[in-house]
Amino acid sequence: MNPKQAVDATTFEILRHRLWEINDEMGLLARRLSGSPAVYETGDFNTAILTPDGHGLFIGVHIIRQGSVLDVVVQSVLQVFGDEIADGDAFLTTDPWAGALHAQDAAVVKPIFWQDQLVAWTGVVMHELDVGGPRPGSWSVGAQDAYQECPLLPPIKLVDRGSYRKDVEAAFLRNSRTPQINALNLRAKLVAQVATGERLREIIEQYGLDVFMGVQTRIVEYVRETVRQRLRGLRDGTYSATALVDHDGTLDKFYHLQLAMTKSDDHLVFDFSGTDRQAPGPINCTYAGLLSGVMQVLLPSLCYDVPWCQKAVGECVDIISEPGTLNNALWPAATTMSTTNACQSTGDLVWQTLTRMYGISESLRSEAIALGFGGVNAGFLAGTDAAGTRFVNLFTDSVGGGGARSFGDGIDVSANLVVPSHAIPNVERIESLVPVLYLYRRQCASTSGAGRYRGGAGLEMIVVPYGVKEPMEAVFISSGCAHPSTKGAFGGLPGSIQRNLILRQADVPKLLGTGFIPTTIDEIPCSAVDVPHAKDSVQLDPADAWLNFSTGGGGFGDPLLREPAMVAADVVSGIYEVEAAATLYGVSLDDDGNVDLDETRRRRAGIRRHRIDIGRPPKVQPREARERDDQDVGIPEICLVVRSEGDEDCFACAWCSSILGPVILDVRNYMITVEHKLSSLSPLNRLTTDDRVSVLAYCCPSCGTALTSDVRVLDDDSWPPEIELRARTGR
Amino acid sequence: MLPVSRGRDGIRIGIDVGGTFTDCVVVDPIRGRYHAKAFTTPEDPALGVLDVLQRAAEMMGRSTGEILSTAASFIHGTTVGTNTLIERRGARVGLLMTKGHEETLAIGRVYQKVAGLSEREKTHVTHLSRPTPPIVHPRDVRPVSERIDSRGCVVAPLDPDAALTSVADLAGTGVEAIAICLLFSFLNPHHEQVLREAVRREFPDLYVCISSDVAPVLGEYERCVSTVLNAYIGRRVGEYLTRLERNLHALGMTCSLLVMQAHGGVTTVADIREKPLLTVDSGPAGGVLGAGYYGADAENGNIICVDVGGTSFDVGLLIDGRVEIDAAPVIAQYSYVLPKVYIKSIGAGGGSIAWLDHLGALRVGPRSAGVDPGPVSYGRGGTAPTVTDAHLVLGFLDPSFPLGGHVGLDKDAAERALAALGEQLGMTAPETASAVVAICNAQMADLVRKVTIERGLDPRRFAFFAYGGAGPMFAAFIAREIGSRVAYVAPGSGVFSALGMLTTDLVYYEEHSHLARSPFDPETATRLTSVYRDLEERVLRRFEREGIPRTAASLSRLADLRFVRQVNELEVPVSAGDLGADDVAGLEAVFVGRYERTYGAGSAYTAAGVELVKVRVVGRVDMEKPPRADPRLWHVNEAAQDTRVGEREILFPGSAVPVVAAIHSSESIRPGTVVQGPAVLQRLADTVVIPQGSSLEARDDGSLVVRWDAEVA
Repeated sequence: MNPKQAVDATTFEILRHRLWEINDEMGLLARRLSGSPAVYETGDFNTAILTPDGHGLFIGVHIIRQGSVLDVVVQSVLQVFGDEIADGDAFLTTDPWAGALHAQDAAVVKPIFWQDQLVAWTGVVMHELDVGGPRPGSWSVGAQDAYQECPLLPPIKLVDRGSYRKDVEAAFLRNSRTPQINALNLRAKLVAQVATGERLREIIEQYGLDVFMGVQTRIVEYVRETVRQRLRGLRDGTYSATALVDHDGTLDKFYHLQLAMTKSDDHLVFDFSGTDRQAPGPINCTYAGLLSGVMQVLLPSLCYDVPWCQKAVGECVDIISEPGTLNNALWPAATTMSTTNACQSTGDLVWQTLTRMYGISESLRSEAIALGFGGVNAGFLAGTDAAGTRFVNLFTDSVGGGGARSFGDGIDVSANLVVPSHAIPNVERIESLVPVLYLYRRQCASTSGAGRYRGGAGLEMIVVPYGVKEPMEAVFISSGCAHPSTKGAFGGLPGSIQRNLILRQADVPKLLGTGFIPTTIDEIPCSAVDVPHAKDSVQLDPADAWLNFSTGGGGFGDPLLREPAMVAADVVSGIYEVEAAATLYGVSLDDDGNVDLDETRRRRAGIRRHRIDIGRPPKVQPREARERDDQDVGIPEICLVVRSEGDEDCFACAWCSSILGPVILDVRNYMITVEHKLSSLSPLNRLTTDDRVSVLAYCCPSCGTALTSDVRVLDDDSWPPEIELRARTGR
Repeated sequence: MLPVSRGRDGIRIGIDVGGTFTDCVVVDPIRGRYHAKAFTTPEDPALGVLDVLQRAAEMMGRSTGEILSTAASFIHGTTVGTNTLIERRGARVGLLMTKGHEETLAIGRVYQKVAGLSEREKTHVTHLSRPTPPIVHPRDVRPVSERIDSRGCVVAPLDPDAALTSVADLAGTGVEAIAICLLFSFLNPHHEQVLREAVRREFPDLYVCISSDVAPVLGEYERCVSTVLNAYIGRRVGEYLTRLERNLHALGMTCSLLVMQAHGGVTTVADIREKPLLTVDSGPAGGVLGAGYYGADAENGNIICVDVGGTSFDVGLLIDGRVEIDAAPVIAQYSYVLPKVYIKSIGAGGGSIAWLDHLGALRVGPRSAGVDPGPVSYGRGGTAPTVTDAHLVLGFLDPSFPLGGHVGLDKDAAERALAALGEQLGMTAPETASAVVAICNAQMADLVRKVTIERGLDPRRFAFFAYGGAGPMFAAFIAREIGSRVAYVAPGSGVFSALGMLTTDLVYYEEHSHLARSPFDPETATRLTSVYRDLEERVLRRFEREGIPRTAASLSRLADLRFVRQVNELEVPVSAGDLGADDVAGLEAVFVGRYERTYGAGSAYTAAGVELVKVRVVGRVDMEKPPRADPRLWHVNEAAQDTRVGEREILFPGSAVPVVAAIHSSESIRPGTVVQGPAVLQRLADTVVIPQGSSLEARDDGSLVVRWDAEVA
């Protein structure tokens, strides 16, 4: 019987739900059994159920990119072991050229057999706290290639026909600084998959193998049709974006990534050509990182209400990339920082292009989102506590804000959206484990990207050594220190940069002993303020203090369109300073913090005029300038729109109704370009000395409304493409 | 006053307020057991309570005053606290937190945006948000200048005057309650206590609570949430219970009003006034406890309990006779730390709507037609076919039989709605109905599996226990879906939560964070002994405050253990008295044993070491329970020879053709009666479906057992 025919509508719905739940259960059980706070608190793990040929059928809801790579892992195992794969086996790998994102991600996959037939795979991958190498946490700051990082495990048999291979486990644990936790995790991965295998076999027992195989086919079809239906509702065209990485782990220099995403009918092509060559530092990712960088955005964005079926989405997508580049690196590239650099930047590019497509297309507009915090801005502290015990701790609480949306502000301190379940530890828990004291942990002022809807604020904290006599080693693994790593959408502005600072000889505990609790850096007397590189290793003396602040999310829409009362509220709640209300939002507040509406109106009109006066003129003159009729009181959801002018579709400004020009030419050609110095957007941006970076706002030449924006380094193409649509046919 | 004032002779009353109905069970040692239902009165739930009492009294042929004055105990489950939270109608709370950490509540450990959401909701990442509006407005949070470290030592001294100035300021702007949460107050509560006394002294009108009282455990976010929620609902819950108790006393009640707590015990109104949070989400606890009582002999006390209503399907667990506790409960996206009976819910029930999605696939729920407009067959304007409509079309329900307060159901309308839905799938109305019911049953079974499997448990090793208005209709099918041959239908299943409340004890507990790592040495034994003695003293003093002698209470010691660095704790019992080296050394083995039993052999990695993180003392005073078996439960019509009163055609999901099923009346059912399927047992409050290939047996405790034949299951 054709397996597909074995499945009726009722059975399909019953098993679709059941398999989805079974994959959830695998994640819940694995998380419950894990010994690592990176898993049970940060959610840095994932699970998947895959087809016999190694394509993701269901990916778990944890860190999305971790689930996406299980395809590559299973396919690598199939390639290496082929016919030797037997019932009761399980395979382990940490090799980025076999599907791991980086060496820290240890993946275990397991075939499911039914009467000698391979009928499915399961997989669980977890980020391990340490797998060896030169630096605690295995983020190999300073490594120039794979030989200087931790040892890698290509696919290897961990369980052989039900028999657990202690030699393999021992080899895996031998290199780690956290062998006990890694061992707990290894068991968690296996126990969860054994349970899942039983559940899947129960289904076969109950419904038969034909139905089980048929449901797999039907699920792929169902999700693929959903995605295609959604894609067909969107405008055909090419949507482009750029991304920066500001330190390669050895050198402080910029790397560029580039994407031109073309949507035709129900298919997407992601073309990363033009991306920089792979770096002599650990920021690269392999093909696994490229694939999961794309999938980690497509899955939540297009499959928000259907199973995250990677096989189905994969059938709607092509990826073009040149091997040997930053996000498709070849052996022996260093990759231990891949996830938070090249892989994350790949995802950032995809978010940007999808948001441009959703925004201009109207359908799925509520899925459009400005770029929020995504990379990493974390530090490790390692040292010896008062009792003489060694400790290592990764501070996972230094996270930024979420991107703003077409319908509302970004989430303050939201962390990375592709890690929806990320939780930060309580201060009490960290202080109970590590000899430190938190002076404060709070939402950071002046980090949110401005916009009609603002980005979420980032987090700020001061951590000081407490009760120790020896210096600690501080390892920083940040990005976005020399440029804003978040970006605005449709005229919104990026969030601030993020950074680590070291306050030398501050002796905060002594200050506290006097009853004085400082709340700003100015209130802390210190001998010097050091600014480490994005990726760096420094000594932290017992009396020093470490300040960390993370970027806010990008804004959505022109800040001049934000409700003045909301700006006033942001000042009260400490999101912005009064000065930013005036300069970024054109909102005038009186001494009590109330909005002066008349003055605000005048100021906003002045800012629009100023943009038109100083902005670089458009390449192509707009087709028809119009004036906004003030009676049109409503604020458009998005100001950059497509209007039909006779037979032709044209870009237009929804604020003043001016017609910019035909959609077949990139939209930036029609707009004036206003350059903002980074330091003018947030006082925190003054902490980067790199004045080559600026923010460009692309504005309507008639009314000065900011329609889109970008971040650029001095030598970049000054007119990078953004949105170019295909003319409508058939008229 | 003793909560159990009249010993074994008095009447016991349990009243549970639900979303739609207020349920009442009265157990009279002479006349037997009575059930009554009245509509819930959301504005003042006390009206519904008095109404249902009167109905029960009428059934007994007595007055409300008569039954109240002879009541030995009166147990009440209230939703005032829960509703106050959900509807955001609580007090305006001012929060005092350690300076530098004022935004702890707002930041919500970043996790707040997904806390309590289902996997399906979490995946819509572009639409997540923090709870709106926040339970405390950011402008009502004020810093306290002080700091205590992780050993409980003072780093920065407290400045009480500045804190009082903040309180004065907050009070001046209309704040009604103050919550105080300082870092490490669970180790050193001194600063919090000083502030609480100062606030009470200077601002006697403000409701004030401190985190070291409400939840003295590690973790400032969840401790802060617990304290804030407590302050938020405190006055409303306190006033409601005080008023209700006063009204009941005025009507002649002489015993105390006891209140159901979310962790399963009952306590006094005075206690709840201090910790109203204990009542939040206490509704489902009664049913789970009742299942433990009535199902004690099944599967060694391993029980899955399900409550099937019109709109929601709740699952709870008992493992080895112990109620499974939710270690990290969440309400309205806020995670708190008071222990609570574990319940997992989905929106599935008779009201669940059947629909076709964007690709024309048949789906059921989670949207519900609710009570209003309700299913199509109610004729109240509902147009979307529901599971109840499907049950009607299949013949599970009798159209002439009253359901949910409706006289008669419109089967034709239900058929038309299902036919219209099925047309697009090429299915007839009965085929569509059959598919809808099969999908709904499967979803319910999926939730049952999830609840057990995520704990590493096998649902087939559990007894399956169903109640709630629709429980008896679904019970047999869900049981079979999860691979269980037997389904128990609880006695008084329509009011089982109220009955379950009567099976509880008076329970006080005290707990504390306490860290110790293996190997547990004699010094650990000494320290633990002293901590346990202290907790025991606190529990006993609380009993004494209620006039209960120390000797009446039985105490048990418990400890939460986990592998070092693992987050998942398991509770293990600890010996009484002075702990010796052997007692504590044995803890590790007990923990590892339980761990492997739960998660499978080989899952434990003992080299990681074990740590003890929390200690707890539970004090329990037994209360009189309703008799399990009671001949008066059966209102048997002796004249009726046969229970069979008719027959009708029923189409069971999975079958191609309808079968003739016997219709039985409950009138002549008695303990030991066996009804062979296919059959339907029509009772006053509900309908028990006995599918083909199964049989029903009535038990002497009033419960029913549906058993699948061996070859079918």
